[in-house]
Amino acid sequence: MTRRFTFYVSRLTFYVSRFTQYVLASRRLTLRLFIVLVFLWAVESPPQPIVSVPPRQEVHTAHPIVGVHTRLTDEVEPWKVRKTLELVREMGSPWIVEFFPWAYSEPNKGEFQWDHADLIVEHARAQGLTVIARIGLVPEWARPHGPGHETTWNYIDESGYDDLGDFVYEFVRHFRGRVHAIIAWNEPNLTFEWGFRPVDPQGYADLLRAVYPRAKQADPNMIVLGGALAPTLEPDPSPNGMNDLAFLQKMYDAGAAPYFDALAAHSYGLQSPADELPAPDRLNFRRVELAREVMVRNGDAAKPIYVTEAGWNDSPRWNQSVRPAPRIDYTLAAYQWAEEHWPWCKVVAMWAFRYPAAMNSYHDNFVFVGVDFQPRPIYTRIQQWATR
Amino acid sequence: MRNTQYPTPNTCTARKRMCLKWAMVMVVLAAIVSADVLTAERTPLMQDKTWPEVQKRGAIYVGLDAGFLPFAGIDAAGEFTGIDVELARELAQRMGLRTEFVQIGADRLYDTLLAKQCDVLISALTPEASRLNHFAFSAPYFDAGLVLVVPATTASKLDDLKGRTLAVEIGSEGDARARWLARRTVGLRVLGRDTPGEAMQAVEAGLADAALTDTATARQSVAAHPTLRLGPRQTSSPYVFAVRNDSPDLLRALDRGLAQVKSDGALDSLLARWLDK
Repeated sequence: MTRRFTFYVSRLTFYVSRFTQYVLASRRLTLRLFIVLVFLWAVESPPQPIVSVPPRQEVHTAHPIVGVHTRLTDEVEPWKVRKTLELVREMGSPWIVEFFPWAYSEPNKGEFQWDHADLIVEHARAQGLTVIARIGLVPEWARPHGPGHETTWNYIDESGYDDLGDFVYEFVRHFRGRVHAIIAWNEPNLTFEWGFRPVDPQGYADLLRAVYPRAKQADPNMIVLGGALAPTLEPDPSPNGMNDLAFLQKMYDAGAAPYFDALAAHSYGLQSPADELPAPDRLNFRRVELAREVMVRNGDAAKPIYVTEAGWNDSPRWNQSVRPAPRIDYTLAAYQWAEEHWPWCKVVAMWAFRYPAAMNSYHDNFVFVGVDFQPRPIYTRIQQWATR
Repeated sequence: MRNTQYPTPNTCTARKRMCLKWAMVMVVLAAIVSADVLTAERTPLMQDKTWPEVQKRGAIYVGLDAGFLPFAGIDAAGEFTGIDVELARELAQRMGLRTEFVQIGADRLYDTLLAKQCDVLISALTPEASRLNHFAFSAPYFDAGLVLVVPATTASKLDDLKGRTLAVEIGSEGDARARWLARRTVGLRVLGRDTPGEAMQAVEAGLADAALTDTATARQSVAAHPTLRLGPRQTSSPYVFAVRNDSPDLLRALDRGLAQVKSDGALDSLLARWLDK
């Protein structure tokens, strides 16, 4: 046996040495070129570092209402995805809301690319996190484009609803049992988020009507969140958008109620403390209670609310921000308020956990963790409270 | 007698072949390079349309975010005020122009400039490499980086922070920097306070060796607390003007004006008026 093995090794060595001699001796340009190409290919394609999905963890938290909105959409490095989600777990947050752009996952009709979305969802699940997926961003093929027909990524009209429904079907089917809920569209009451078209509650209700059955067809247990309205006091009419409470009522008037299982709400505190009384002419954290009243008036009291964006900003460069210390106090108080007073609220997901790169604007002061993963004091305080 | 060797006919053929090969390689390389050059996008010589337009109208439109005093704000009479406002007026006056301010939210500054709703941004901006494809930046007019504030009686330059205590406003840039330093400096402690003022008080009370804050806050604090003085600078964060990339002449004119106000002391006295009183 050993002799045979030695024989084969010696033969292999012989052939390799002969081949090497032949290559070195050869003057043929094609062969040399081939060797150079192989070398270049080897140099140009270094093996990617392997970031494995770790064994499943659990979130240890005393306050399961705590959530954060992550921004992993544009985070290209797997280790940073993993690190971000580890930090979310360690803060004591069992929930994340994450954006899954349609345009990224279906660049051509019927051609699906789930690599990055899978990366996020698998790492989130490994950290024991529950994922709420926000879906939006229309691929070019699904909207008018070209000279004279320029549209933005947020443009969708009735001709695109079925395509969106098809995508939602594929998304839900792919992530069946791995994603808790989907948010169909974001802030449709803002002109910017509605592709710079006049906002249209009827149009948004039609969008939900197209999406909802497709999601349920793929997974009857998938929760479809509607709304995700931007809190705004825009007058009626306004070129910028529509008052969120008015938009919500018009959604109901347009027959949207059967097409969402729960309401997604955005609830920013701006410069007010978390417990400030809500009022129709005021934007504050408790404005979501007014949205709740609209739901109750329309017979939707049984539906829960998921706060998928909320928070305070501590930028010295924004006139709607507060100092860092009150930001921490208000954020903590907001979680506590929701926990104690909002039995219909499943989660409060603060905007935003970390950005993949600095935005160089006041937006950077919404984060809990810096681009360099250095936790800001708000992270430490929430962690102390949530995990004790 | 020379021992000259003449090439044999075979050697001649081999050399010719070799030359032919190299000639072919050179031809291919030349073709690649020339194709690259021919298809490359031509960048026409930049002709500034903004500067002639500014001179023609006799006014420069200055975009700023009037929510960031002492650099830009709106006073009780509803007038623009602050370091950026006064600096813009000073430069415009020296260029024989009027100043018209365009109030813009901080997150819309660059979009507004790109949309040609103003000619220049003078709004406590730091230069950003990621914006260089659309914008150009002037020379700096102020360094807002982090600086230590120490007791006036302290002789130490505080070059070595080992074993020191730094007071910071919780969640501020100074806080982040101090915690970063604490990971690298033996015995450095960070004392968090809710406001910059409370951080200064901690230094005055002897609870901390120094406070770490941005330069504008530091200078204002030192002016308000005679028992304190500025210590060594820790980081640099220059403030600059921003113009569109297609306004090189305007940028040159602004840079010339900036150099003048720096050399004749007008900028220093303007800054002192806002920060050191």
